[in-house]
Amino acid sequence: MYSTEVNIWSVTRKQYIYKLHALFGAFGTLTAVQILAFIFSFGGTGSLGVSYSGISVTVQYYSSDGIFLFTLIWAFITGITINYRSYRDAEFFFVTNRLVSNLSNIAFLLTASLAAGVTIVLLSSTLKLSLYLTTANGHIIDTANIALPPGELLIGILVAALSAALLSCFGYVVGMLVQLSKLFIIVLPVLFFGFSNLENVTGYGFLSSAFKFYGGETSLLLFSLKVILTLVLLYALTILMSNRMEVRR
Amino acid sequence: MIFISFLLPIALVCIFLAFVMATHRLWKPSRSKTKYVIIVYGSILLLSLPITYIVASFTDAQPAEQMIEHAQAATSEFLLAIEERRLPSAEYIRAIEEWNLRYEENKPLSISIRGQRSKSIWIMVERNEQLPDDQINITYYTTPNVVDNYDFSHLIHPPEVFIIGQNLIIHDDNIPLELELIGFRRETFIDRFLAEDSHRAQETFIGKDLLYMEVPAHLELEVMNNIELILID
Repeated sequence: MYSTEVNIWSVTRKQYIYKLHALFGAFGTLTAVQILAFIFSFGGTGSLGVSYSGISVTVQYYSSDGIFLFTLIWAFITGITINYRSYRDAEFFFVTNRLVSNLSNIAFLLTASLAAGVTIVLLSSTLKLSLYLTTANGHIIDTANIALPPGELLIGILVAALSAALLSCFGYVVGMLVQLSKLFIIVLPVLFFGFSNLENVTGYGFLSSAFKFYGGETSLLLFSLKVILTLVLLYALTILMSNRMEVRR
Repeated sequence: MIFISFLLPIALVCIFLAFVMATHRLWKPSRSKTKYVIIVYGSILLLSLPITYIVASFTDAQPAEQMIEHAQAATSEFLLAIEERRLPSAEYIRAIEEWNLRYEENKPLSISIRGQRSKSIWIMVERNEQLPDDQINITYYTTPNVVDNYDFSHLIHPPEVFIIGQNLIIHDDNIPLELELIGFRRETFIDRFLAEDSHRAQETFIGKDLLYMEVPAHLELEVMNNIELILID
C-alpha cells in the first residue's frame, strides 16, 4: 500500500518537461539548420529565360522548399539522437519506466515537429521579405504573392509539422533498432542503399513507392490520416521493442 | 559505376559528420547563448509575417487573368492598326517617351536606324499641317511586354532619337538589355494540396514597339537601312 499513487500521465508530463529542458539544444540545432537552409535558399529554385530583339529577360524563382528539406533531415536526426545512451541513462535518476520514457520522448518529438512546422512557414515569409527588400523596385513579378493567404499558411504549418513528425518517428525507430542491436548500424544503411540500387537495376522501387505513398498524396485529410496512423503504429512498435530491452546496458 | 554510386553519399555523410565533430570541439554553445539565439530568431520570424502581409496589401497588381487578356488584346489591336495604317487604340499602348526635334527646313530628312533593338521598332508617320515647318514630334509607344504574367514594360528604356544635320537617327547601344527579375513559387509541400484551378499558366508576350512621328505636311522623307515606314492617310 502506497501513501501516494503514481499517475502515469503526471509522471510522463514531468518527464516531458524535463526533456524540454534537457534536450533544449535540439531547438538550437533547428535554428542553425534553418538559418543555413535560408542562406542556401538565396540560390533560387529555378529560372525562366526569354530573349528577343536585343532584350534578355531572366526570372529567378525562390521558395522555401530547401528549408523544408533541411528541417526534415534535422527531424530525422533528432529522432535518432533522442535515443542516445547519455539521455537514456539520465532517466534512471527519475521514477519512471520504459513506457513513461517512450511517451515523454514521443511528446517531445511531436512538440519539436510542431515547432519545426511553424518555423518553416514563418521562415518562408522571412525569405520573401528579404528578397523584396534587397531587390530593385519593379523587378519582382508577383509582389502580391509575397504573403501566403491565411488558409495556405495553416495548410503549410500542418503539412510541415506532420512531415517533420513522420521523419522524427522514422529516426526514433532507427535509434531504437540500433539500441536493440548494434548490427543495425550497418544493416540499415546497407538496406537503404541496396533498395536504391535495386530500383536503378530492376525499375521497381520500394523506396520511391513509400515516398509516393506520403509525398504523392494530394488530399490533406488522407495525408494527415496516413501520417497519424503511421505514427501510432510505429510508436507502438518502439514501445513494444523497448520493453524487450534490458533495464540498463 | 555501382560502386561509385555508393561512394558519393557515404563521402557526403562523412564530410558532414567531420564538420559537426570539428565545430562541436571549437564552440560549445552554452544554454543561455542558445536561448538568446532562439529568442532573436523567433522574434525575427514572428515580425516577418505581419510585415509581408502589409507589403502585399500595398501592391495593386492587376490579376493575372486580366493581364493576359489585356496583353492578347493589345497585340491583336496593334497588328490590326498596322494593317489599317492607323495609330493603335490608346487603351492598348503606353507612351514611354516623347521628343520634339528641330531640323533644317526645306531640306529632305533622312531616317536611319542603328542598333539591334531599334531594328524591331515599327515606324509610323503622320503628316500634320499644324506643325511648324522645322519641327517633328515623335512618341515612343509599346504594347505590354509580359513574362510569367508580369508586365515589365516599365523596365524597357526606349532608344535614343536625335537629329544630326538632316539625319534623324534612331539609336541604341547595340548591347542586349538584360533584365533580371525575381518571382516566388508556392512551396511544393503546400502546392500539391491545392485545387487544380489554383495553378496558372506562365504566359509570355513580346511587346510591339512603335515610333509615331508627326511631321510637317510638306517634309520630304528618305529612309535608310531598308526601313519600312507606315504612312497614315
